[in-house]
Amino acid sequence: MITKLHLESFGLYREVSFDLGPVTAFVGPNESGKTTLFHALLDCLCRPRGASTHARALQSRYGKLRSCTVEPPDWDGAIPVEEFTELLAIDSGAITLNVSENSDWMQAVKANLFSGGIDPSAITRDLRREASENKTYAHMKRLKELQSRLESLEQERDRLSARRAEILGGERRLQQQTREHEELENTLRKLQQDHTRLEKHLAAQSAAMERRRARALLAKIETVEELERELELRAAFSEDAEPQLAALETGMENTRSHREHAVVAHEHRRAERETALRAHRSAEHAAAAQQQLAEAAKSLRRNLEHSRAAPITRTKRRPRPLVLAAAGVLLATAAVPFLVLTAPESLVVGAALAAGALILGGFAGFEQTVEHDNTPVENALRRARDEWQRETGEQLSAESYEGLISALTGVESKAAAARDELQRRGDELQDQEHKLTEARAAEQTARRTAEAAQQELNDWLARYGLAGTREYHNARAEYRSRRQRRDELTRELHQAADQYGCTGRSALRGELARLLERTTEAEVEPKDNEALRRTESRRAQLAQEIEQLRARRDAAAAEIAELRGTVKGSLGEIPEQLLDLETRIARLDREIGELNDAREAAAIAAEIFEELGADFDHVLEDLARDIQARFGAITGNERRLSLPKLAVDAAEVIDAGGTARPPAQLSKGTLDAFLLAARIALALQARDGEGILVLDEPFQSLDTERTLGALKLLEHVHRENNVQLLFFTKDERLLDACTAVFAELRIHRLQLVGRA
Amino acid sequence: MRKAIHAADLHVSRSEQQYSFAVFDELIELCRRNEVDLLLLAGDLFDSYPDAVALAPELREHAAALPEACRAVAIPGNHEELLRGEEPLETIDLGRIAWATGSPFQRYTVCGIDLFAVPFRSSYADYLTWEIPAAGEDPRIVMMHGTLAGMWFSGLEETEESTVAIDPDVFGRIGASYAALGHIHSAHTEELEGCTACYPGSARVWRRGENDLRAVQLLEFQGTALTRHERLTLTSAGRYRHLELPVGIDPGKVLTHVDEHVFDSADFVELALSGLIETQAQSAQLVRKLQHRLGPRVRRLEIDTEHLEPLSGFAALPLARHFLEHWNRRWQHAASPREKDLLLEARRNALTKIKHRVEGRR
Repeated sequence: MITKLHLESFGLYREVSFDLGPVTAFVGPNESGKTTLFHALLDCLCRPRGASTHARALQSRYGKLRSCTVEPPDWDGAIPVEEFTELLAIDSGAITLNVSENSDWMQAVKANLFSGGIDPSAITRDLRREASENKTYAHMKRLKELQSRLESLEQERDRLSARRAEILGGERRLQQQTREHEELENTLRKLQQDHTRLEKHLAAQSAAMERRRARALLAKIETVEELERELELRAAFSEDAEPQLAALETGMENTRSHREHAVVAHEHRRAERETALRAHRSAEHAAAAQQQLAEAAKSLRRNLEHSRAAPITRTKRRPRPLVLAAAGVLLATAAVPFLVLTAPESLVVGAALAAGALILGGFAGFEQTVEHDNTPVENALRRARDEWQRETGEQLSAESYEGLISALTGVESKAAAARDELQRRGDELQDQEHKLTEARAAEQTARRTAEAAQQELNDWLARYGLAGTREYHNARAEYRSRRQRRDELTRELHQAADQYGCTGRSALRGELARLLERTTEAEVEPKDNEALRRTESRRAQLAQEIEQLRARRDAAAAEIAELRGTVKGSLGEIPEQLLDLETRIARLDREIGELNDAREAAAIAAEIFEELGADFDHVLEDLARDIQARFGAITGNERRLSLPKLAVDAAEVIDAGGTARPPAQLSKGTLDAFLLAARIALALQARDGEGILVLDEPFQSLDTERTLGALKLLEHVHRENNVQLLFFTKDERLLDACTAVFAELRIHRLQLVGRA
Repeated sequence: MRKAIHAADLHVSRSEQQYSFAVFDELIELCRRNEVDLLLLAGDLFDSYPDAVALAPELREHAAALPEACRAVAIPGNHEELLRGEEPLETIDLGRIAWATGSPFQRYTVCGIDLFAVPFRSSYADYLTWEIPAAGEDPRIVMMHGTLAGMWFSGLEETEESTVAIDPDVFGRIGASYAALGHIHSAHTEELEGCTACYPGSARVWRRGENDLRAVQLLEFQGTALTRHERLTLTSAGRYRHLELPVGIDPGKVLTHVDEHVFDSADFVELALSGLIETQAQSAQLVRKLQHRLGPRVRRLEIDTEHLEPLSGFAALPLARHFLEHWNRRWQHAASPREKDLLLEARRNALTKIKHRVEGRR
């Protein structure tokens, strides 16, 4: 309750104080300062600031330096201007109601009506905050913290799980390795047995081989000695006489070839001489024939030349063609040997044939007839020709005497030429004879040389007791091959001796003999080298396998040793720790879930509150009922009222006649009563805590009855809701009514302005 | 074909003697009905060592009803260790039930089943050093009591005393095809290390939160293989029922709400009242009425009023009224349990906020 209003300097008031009671009335005529006091109250309670309408109005009317205060001071500036002017204070009887959704007091009215004084929007805000995911809020910080703790716990769990897996893995590995180690040992044992068996077998085989070898070596020693003996016997062949023999052979070959050449030359010469002889003989024949013709021709020519002087009777010779033909054939046959064959016998036959032919032709070829020449010349000519024909078998073509003579002379010249030819052939033959003699001498010399060479070779071979050069070659080859064999064996034996660690053949023999004495024949199936090689390779393979297995076994053993060092045979505290972690994780999970649920639940609650905030209908119904009740209290009877959405313009009031009317159609008195009732109702809902109503001539339009009703309503409100009342009036009757209604009324009578 | 029943955590106790023996009798009856060859009791047969000592004679009598052909083996659990001190466990005589106390395990061969019964120990960490005989032809079962590391079951075990971890590797090591486990009171089955590891859950409702039907596991073996395992419900064990009762403007409504539920006489019912109520006295009165109404119908009734807060004038508070109207509309449409949980939480939060505002204002 405001107990005092002090005006230090306000309008015309200077240092004036008014004590205020629960109900105070300021009474005074016009211009007694009521409005100034009203404004001072407005200034004190609201302290309008800046450029607001009220601030400017106060400043322009009362100046900047105005000064007023209230007591207790917590009322100073405690009421928003809007709430004061529109709700709590009625200025100069002007009762208005400006309901704005946005005004703070209207919000407060709603909140109060709705929630009984609790602001649902504040709860909604709180709930929204609780539902918010904004990281700055405590619950989100808590959530984040929990989540980070959860994460670290999960990491720890994962770490432990990994450790567990590691330990179990190690344990399992140890078991596995131990098993494997055992298996390896078994396998190794088995393989080693196999290996030993194979080794024994191989050793037996090797001993047998050794004995075989010793025996073979001894046999070789024998062979070498035999060979040496043989070589000794054939010592003559030890030196290589091959070049010597080759030279001899070459010499012999040369003389032989020389001799052969001489024989060929001799033969050739002989043939040439034969040819020359045949040519000579033929020339002899030709010369003889030509001589005969020439004789005949000479005789004919002489006859002719003789007949030229006397006619002559002449015997004519007529040829016999058959005989001549036969002679011709003979002659031709006689010519063949001369043309084809060279043998002297055939030449003789040819000559005989030719001679036969000539005889046959000469004696039987012609028949002689005696002709009588009419004219000696012609006869002579004719005889000559006939005779020629007879003589030669040829016809003389010349008709004339001279011609005939010339022809006969020609025949004679031919005979001379044939004689010359014979002469030449004779010379030639003589030359060939000479050459033949030389060739024969050369051939005989060559033969002697060849025979001497042969003799020399034979003598050389005889020195070796050989029949021919081939034998020497064979003997020599044999010698060489034996020597080679001996050398090979000697080398082998030498190596063997080296292997047996002894020097010399006899030492080796002794050693081998001792070896054979020392060892006994092994009871093994002797195997061929291939089989032995296979066995050995199998043994080597086994050995290798054994080596590998050993390495594996050793590795397993090492790992077992290492594992034994690390594997403790127990998981220790790990399962317990895991369980503990899981418990804590579950707890955290639950806590996080609860936090999230709380947030979600808060969101649901906020949603419900928001729904409530939006749901004004019932609020307004409550308010309409309240206003209706107060309106009825003023007007003295129950007045129904509809006030949808609290919009005054849309309100309908049932008037005295029972007609529903909008406020604009109401009488001024009824309208004021309605607005007064609404204001009081709203003011009561708007003010949280102590209330105040400032009423400057509030009942101007009301009749006495309604004024009394209004005063009673205000008295009730004052009493029930602890509302302080301040009246301003010039009306003494109202003062009387107030005095009658309010038990405790403080009255300030105002004088003319400035005189309190 | 051989059959076995695997049960765990019966917690036979003097405080709930009648109830726990009723469940035990049903277990025996299940063995009879299913012609079981082997009954496995995987720890916490008794609720404590003194319970074991006091109730062993009665248990022997009940166990005598086991069918002739059925062998039974029990291992001690952590509860048999409770209050034991230095007293010997081995001397407890369970009659027909073989009491496996050999360390680290006791081996039984029953009807061709090779059973490794591992009594409870404070640690199984040394299991790597156990001498496990090579596996034969028979199927192997390992019976243990503790919590499997690596499969934490949230929620239920939160308040359980310190537990012992079992590393599932042990199953593989033993070569078991089935692990009969005890200690976790909710049922879980998982394939681990080639072994079906199973918690059948506690045979009876031992404390709040044990929501599901109580059951045992029926096993069938053919040759060396586990061919079938299924749950058999123990009806005499009842259930744990948790009921959320949001108190509104009219607290009396919760009574009719409770009446809508059907309860078994063996049930353990917990009612959780939440919301605002005019006075503490009104709250107490409501609890009395609920106890009167429901108490005789169930084995055990607990009423939680932690979230029921008094606020005078609550019923007349327009905001609260309006809020509850809206909330109720949502509640009626809520389908999933999670939705309901969230709505209950939203209700608690909102009403608490209203309460604080109202009190702050006063």
